[in-house]
Amino acid sequence: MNRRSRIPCSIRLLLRFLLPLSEREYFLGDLEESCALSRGPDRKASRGHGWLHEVAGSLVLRFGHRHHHKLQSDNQEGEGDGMFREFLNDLRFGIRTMRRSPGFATVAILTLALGIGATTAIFSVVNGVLLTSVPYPEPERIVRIRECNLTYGLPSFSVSPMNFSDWKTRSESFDFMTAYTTRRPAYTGGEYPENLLVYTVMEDFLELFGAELALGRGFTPAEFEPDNEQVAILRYGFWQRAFAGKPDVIGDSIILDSVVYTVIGVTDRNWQPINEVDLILPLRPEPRWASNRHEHWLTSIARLKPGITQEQAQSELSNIAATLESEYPDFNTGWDVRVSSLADNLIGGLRPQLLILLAAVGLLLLIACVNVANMMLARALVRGSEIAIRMAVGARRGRIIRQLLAESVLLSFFGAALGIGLAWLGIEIFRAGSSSVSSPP
Amino acid sequence: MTMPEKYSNKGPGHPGEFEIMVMLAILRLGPDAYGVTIREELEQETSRTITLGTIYKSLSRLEAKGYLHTRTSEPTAVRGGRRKKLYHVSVTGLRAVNRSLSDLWSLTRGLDLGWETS
Repeated sequence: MNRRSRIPCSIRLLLRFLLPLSEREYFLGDLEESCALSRGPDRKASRGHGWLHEVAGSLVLRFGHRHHHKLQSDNQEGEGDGMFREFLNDLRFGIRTMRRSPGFATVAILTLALGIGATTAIFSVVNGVLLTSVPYPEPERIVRIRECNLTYGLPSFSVSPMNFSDWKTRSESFDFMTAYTTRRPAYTGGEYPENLLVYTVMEDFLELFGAELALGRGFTPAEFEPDNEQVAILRYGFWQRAFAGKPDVIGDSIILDSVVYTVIGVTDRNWQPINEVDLILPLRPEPRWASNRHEHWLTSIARLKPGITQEQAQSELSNIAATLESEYPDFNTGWDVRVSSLADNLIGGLRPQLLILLAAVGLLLLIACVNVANMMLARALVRGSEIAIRMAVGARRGRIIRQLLAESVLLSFFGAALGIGLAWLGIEIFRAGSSSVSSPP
Repeated sequence: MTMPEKYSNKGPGHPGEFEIMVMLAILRLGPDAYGVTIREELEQETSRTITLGTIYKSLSRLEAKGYLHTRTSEPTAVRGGRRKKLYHVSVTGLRAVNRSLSDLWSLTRGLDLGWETS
């Protein structure tokens, strides 16, 4: 029997590697026969086909072979192709392995859960506080303006209404500049008397914060003038609570400290002011303001014009403050202005602490991962004989690695699931313990 | 509402165009249908260049669908001491070929496709 092959050795080896075992003998036999009868690839080489063509064909066969398994599995189990079925088998085996050693599984899952839970909880807080703490359009342009008088030992203080009025008139760095203060008027229209938290605001307040209204309209300039009808805009929550979400609430009256206000609007459900107020009222100038710049009680917020930096605004307002100091030496001597971003103002000195906490829990997660990796390494040593047996009965290296990866995926999945639960619990604890953090000082 | 068996997606389904060609080649070859002869038959009759891999892919699928039965021959020297895998079309395969060709024939009825009948 002539055993000398006409198929080049390299091609034969390549085809042996590519061809599925069930078809290998017949395919190579056919190829050999084609060459022997001068009907094979060496004949076709002159026509531009040849061995490369046949190797490409064997690739098609290999792909087709996998599809053949898919057909069979479709009819038998409906579990998809071979690789996915193998992965499912690996997962099943992984679960059985975990059940055989519950101590290892419990400790590994708990370690991962603690690491993942702590990191997720702290990152959520940091994300909420540092990264997305100011829920207004273009928050980087919103600044808080305060007065300061180092002679009196006041590095940051509220704003005098008349000084605010002069800043607004003379400055050019801002699209909007507004001021507000909070009040606690008595409300007796509900089931029981209560003190509401109310903003009294100057013009442009709603515009500056990009407040949208669910019903009605905002304030008109006339409504900031004395002696006009008193009007109020309700917060969505208060509208639901006090008026049961009454759709035709516009035009209704509400009595605060015995003064009747007409409801002209309801803020959008998603609009979030700095404080949890119930109502927004217009702040109307009073004659006594003009005669006394000593009274500092306003909180001033402004939106920088596009392209204007905080430093430019600070410089302009300091110049105005210096002018006011010379114009009103009795009231303004030693008073300057401090401009700071609203985000920094709300967070205060929390930023470094939060970042350190985030780094700490990041390290905690790293330690948890290293611990679990160590445990898995130790376990791999114990399972050495099991792996050796599996390789002896034909498991390939890649197959063993896939199995171990599937077990790791299972541990990570359970650890992450428990970790998310712990993170949720942690966030709730943070929320309960820090309800006052969002209020400005 | 249940689908007529003919159009149901359950089961092996309809053979594809190339699968029909392979089954027809096997029917033409009779008992001597294996990779080399099937390829030669198809290349001669269709003027296509076909690799063994393509032939074996279709044979493998047809076998999985139950359209083909196989047997192996004794090893021969010209094949480097390897056996042949010989194919013949099963009853199911015959029905499938008949059904597909019948469907195609029905669809061509009334069309002038420029064929010359011999």
